[in-house]
Amino acid sequence: MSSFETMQRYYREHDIALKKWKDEGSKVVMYLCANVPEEIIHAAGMLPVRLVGDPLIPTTVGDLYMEDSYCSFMRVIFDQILRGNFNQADAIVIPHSCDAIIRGAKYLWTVKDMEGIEFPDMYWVDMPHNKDLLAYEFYVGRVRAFRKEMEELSGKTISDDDLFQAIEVYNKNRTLLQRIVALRKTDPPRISGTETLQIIGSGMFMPKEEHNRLLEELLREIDSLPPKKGTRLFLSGSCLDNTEVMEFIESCGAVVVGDDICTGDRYPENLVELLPDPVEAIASRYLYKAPCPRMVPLANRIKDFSQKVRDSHPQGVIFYLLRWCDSNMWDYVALRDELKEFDIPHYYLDMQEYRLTNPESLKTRVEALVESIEG
Amino acid sequence: MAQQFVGERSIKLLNCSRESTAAMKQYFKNLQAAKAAGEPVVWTATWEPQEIFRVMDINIYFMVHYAALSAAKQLSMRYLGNLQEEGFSKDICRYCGQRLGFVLDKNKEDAPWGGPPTPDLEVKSCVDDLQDKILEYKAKALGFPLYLMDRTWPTRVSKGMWHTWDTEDYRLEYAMKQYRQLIAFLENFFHRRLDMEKLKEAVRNTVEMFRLWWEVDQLRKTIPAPITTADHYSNIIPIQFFRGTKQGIEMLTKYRDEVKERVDKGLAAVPNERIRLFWPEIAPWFTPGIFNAFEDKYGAAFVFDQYHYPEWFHQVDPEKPIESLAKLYAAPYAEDYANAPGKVEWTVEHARDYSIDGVVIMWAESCKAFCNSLLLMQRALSKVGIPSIIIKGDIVDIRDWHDQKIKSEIGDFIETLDPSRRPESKRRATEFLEQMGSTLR
Repeated sequence: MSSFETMQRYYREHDIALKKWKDEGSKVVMYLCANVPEEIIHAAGMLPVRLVGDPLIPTTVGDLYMEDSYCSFMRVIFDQILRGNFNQADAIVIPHSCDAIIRGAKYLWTVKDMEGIEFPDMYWVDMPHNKDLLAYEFYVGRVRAFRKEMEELSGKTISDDDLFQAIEVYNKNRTLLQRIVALRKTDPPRISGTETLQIIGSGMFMPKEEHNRLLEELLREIDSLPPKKGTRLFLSGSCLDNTEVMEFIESCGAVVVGDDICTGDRYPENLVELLPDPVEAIASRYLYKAPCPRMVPLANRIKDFSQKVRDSHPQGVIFYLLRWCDSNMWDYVALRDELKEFDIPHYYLDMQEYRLTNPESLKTRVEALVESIEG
Repeated sequence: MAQQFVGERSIKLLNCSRESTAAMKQYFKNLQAAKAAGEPVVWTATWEPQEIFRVMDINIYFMVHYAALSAAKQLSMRYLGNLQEEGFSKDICRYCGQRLGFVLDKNKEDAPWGGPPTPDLEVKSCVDDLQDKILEYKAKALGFPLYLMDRTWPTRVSKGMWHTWDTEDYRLEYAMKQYRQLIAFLENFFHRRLDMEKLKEAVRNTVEMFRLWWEVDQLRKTIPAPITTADHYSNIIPIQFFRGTKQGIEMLTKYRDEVKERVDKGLAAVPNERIRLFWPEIAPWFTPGIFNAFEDKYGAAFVFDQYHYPEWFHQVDPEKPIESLAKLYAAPYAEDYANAPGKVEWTVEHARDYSIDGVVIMWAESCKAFCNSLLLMQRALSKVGIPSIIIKGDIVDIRDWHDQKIKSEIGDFIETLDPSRRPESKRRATEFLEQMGSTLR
C-alpha cells in the first residue's frame, strides 16, 4: 500500500490508530475543531483524534434535543456523541469556537444532566475573539489550565520538554503539509482538493509522528502523481470533515486549487514559534493563526481570504456554507466584495445540509460556473 | 418589499408604561440635540457597562432599542430588504441584521423618531460571533471607529446561578482589565477623565434599580396577576437603557409602586384570570398585542416573561465599582442563564414560582442568542408536567409570523391547560431542580 493509500485508509476509517492505542492501554482524547491546542494532548502522552461526523448516518437521538435551526455539522456531532459513537474516547475536548460549537457543548452537558445519557467526560477550552494583549494573556491562562487538566486526565506531569517535543512534531507536520498544499496551487496542480482533504485529515486520526513519516514518503513519490486537469476553483466556507462535497465539485470538470477551510489549507498554517515558555508559544499560534470565521476583526479574514485567492490563482470561487453557519453567512458579502479585485466569477451556496442532499442542483450550478469560465 | 401584516399594539394598564415610552423618546431627542451641539455620542449595547459612559458624560444609544422601535413602527421589512439587496442571506440573524439594514437605508427621512445620530464611536463586545461583524459593516458604511471588547464563557455553571451569581475568578479578572482599558481609551479618545466617585454612585444607582426590578418580580407572583407581560415589556426601558441614573430609579420606583398598589387592592390585570402563561423568549416587537390576545376569550394572562435579572444586587460592593460592573455584565448574565443548562433550570424554576399553567415558546430560528435550548426547555417542562408549545415566529421579521395560525395554535393549547395541576407540577419542578447537577467541569 502506498503512503497515500495508507492515508486514505486512515481518513476513511478514522479509528485504526484509536483502537490500537486503546488496545495498548493508552488514552485517547477526541477533540472538536481546529481551535484545540493538540500539542498539549500529545505532550501528555495521549492520542488526539478529531471528532467527525458521517454523512451516511442520519441524526436521530440528537433531534430530540437540538433545534433544526442549528449548524448542520454540529447537529451531527451532537447526535453521534449522544448515541455513544465516541464512547471509546477517554475524554472529549470542545473549545469555545463558534457559537454553534459552544452551545452544542452546553446542550450536551444539559442532556447528560437531565437524561442521564453517558458519554466521555468533556473538557472545555475557552478562547477569546479578540487578539489584543489582554486577550492573549487570558488565553495563555486558559491553555495553562488545559495543560493541568490533561495532566490530571493522563496521570502524567507534562514537562516543558514534553511540550517542546510536541511542538517540534507538530511544526514538522505543518511544514510537510504546507509543502503538500503548495502542490495544489501549481499549474497544473499536482494534488486535487479531495486528495488534500484526505492527506491533511488523515493526520487527525493517527499519531503525528506516523503522519510525518507518511508525508515524507508521499513527497518523495509526488512526481508519480498525475497532474490534475480542470477549471481552477477556490472553495470558501464551512468546515468539511469528509470529501463528499469536494469530490462532487471536482467531478464537474473542476479542480479545487485552494480553500480557506479549517480542515483544509488553514489547518497546517502558522508554525508554533519557539518562545521560552512553551505554553505561551502554543497559545500564540492558536490565537494568531489564520483566522477562523468566529474571530474578530472581520478585516483579518478578508485579508487572509484575499491572500489565499491570490496564491492559488483560481478562475472562480465557490462559497459553500453549511446550514446555519452564521459566521460564514455574515462574512460572505465582505469576501464577495474582495473578489472584485480579481475579476473572477463566484457562486454562493448557503444553508446546505451536512450530507449532500441535492447533488443534482449543485452539479447544475458548478457546471454552469465552469462553463461560464471556460466559455 | 410589501408589508402584508400590520402588528397589534399591546394594551397597557399602568401610567408608568406610557411614561417609559415618553422618557425614551425624550432621551432620543436629547441625544440628537447633543450630537448637534458637538457632544460625544457612542453606540453601545445593553451588555456593556453603560455606567462608565454615563459618568464620563458621553451620550450613549443602544441600537437594539432601534431594532425594536423599527419593528413596532412596521419598518423592519424595509430594513431587512436592504440587507438582501446587499447580498446578505435571508437567514442571517434578522434582529441583529435589521440594525445594519437601517444603516444601509438610503432614505432615512422617515426613520422612526428621526433616526439615531451617527456616533463618534461604537463600543461592543463579542457576546456572540455576529455582533462585531455587523459592527464592522456599520462602521464601514458610516465611517466611525470601533472599540471591540471580548466576552468569555464559563467552564462551570453552578446550580441556580441566577441566585448565587457565581463565576470563575479568571473571567472576572479579564472583564475588569478590559473595563479599565476601556476607561483609559475613552479618556484618551474624548479628552475627559472618569471620576471614580461618580462611578461608585452610578453603580449604587444600578444596584437600587435591580433591587426595585426584583421587588416587581416578587409582586408578579401574586394570583391573580397584577400586571401582564404587556406592561412589563414597556418597563424594560429604564432597566435596560437608564442604568446608573437617578431617573432610572425614579421610573422603577414608580413602576414598583403602581404594581404594589394593584396587588394591595387585589386588582387583576385580567379580571377573570383562569390560565397563567409564561413567555420565556424575546417578544415579537412588531406585534406586542399578542400578549393581550387570549385574555377575553380564555382568561389567559401572560404573567411572566424573559426580562428577569439575577439577584446581583445582593452581591456587589459599589465601593469596588469595576468589580461590580464585571460581575453584572461579564459574568453569567448573558451566557449562563440565556443558554442551557441555566436557561432550562431557570425556565422550570420560574414556571414553578409563578404558578404557570402553560409555557409559550417563540422560536425565531435566525436568533440563536435568544432562541436556543428550546427543545431542552420543552423536555424539562414536560418532565415536571407543565405543558408547553413552540410557535414559529420572529422578533422583527413578519415573514415568519402567521398571525391567525399562531393565535389559533396558542388558543388550542390554552384549551388543554388545567390550573388544578399546579400543585403537582410545582412539587415535580422542585424535585427536578434538586436532581439537576448543573456543575460543569
